[in-house]
Amino acid sequence: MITLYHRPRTRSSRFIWLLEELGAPYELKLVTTLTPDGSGASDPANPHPHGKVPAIKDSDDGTMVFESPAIVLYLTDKFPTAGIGPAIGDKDRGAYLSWLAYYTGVFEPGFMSKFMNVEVPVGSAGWVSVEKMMPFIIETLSRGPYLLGEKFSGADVLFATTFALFANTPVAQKSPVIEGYVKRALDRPAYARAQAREDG
Amino acid sequence: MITLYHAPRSRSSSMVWLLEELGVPYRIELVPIIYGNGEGTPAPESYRAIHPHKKVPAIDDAGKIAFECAGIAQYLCDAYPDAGLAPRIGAPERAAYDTLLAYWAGVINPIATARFRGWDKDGPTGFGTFEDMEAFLSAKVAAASPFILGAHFTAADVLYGGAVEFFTGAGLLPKRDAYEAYASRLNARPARQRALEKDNG
Repeated sequence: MITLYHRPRTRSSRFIWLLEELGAPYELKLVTTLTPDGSGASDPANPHPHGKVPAIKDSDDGTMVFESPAIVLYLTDKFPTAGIGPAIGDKDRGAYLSWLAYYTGVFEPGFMSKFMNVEVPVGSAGWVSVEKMMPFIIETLSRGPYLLGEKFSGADVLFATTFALFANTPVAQKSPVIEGYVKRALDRPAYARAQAREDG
Repeated sequence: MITLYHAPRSRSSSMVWLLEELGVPYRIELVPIIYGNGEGTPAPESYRAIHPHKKVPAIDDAGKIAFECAGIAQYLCDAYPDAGLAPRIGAPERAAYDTLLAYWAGVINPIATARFRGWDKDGPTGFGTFEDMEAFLSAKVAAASPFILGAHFTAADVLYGGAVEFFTGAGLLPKRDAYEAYASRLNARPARQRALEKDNG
């Protein structure tokens, strides 16, 4: 059994979607978190070291995982039958791991830099600007419906939900390719099932 | 045969170390990059087929490309498990291993860059607070006995050892006995020394 530490309408929401895609046995544990406006508070019941969501606990051995790409990888490796995480030895494994690492090491910091209105330093930062990353992502998604090509994967859970979140903000750059991608991903039945469980 | 796309004294240097620890055949292909101080030259446009932003490191393993240090480390140690540099899927340490690699890429590095650039001088950035990150990192390193996941050296030590050494040297991390002891323990490894000798290609 997987326990997902969750606060509705936050970064933990998409992990309900992932768990639904995987058909994994899971339960939601609603927790509070400290929000950017200063309301709310860290929840002592939340095992995340910084009091954030998401975090998961695996009751098989009592271990916990946090950081979004780590949770995606851990779960798609643990529940391989859904086929949304290329296995070790699969020709797409390298690309899958690269997209997960890229999400957290480049994509998120790139958008955060744009929100913060700071210039991404060439050479010393491990990431690039949104303007440099978007052509690569759009080009990839022009070749196939999903990041890995024909097959939906755990990486799409991260990228599609983030693009959906940014859709109505000034940092988003309108792109029919991205809009089509978000719609395709969020039209999946597992996403609708997850929405229905959002509040716990 | 694995090809590592590498630039001396850059983020890819830790991947030379990882490959030496892994003990599998590999070759280094040197790639020009722009360094943080503005020196260097950009890689040729043809290199974009390997890395979308013409950065290092990247690897090509018989046509399978991987980039981003955490992605490469995860890929290599799973694909070549004999060296035991990653807990197997299903092993109890796998959860902590996956978490540490993602935390390194998504928390430690952006927060260190934010501090280095002074972006957090008026308050914490959206990356999280430096103090939370440093408390987590120093607790993990202090508890390393002798390695960050316990008795066995893993790819997480390559990334965390590199971070501790680099960010301490840059004055971003405070001086702590635990950091120093961990870094010197890792530096004493023969594979680390071989990697330093091969860093220039």
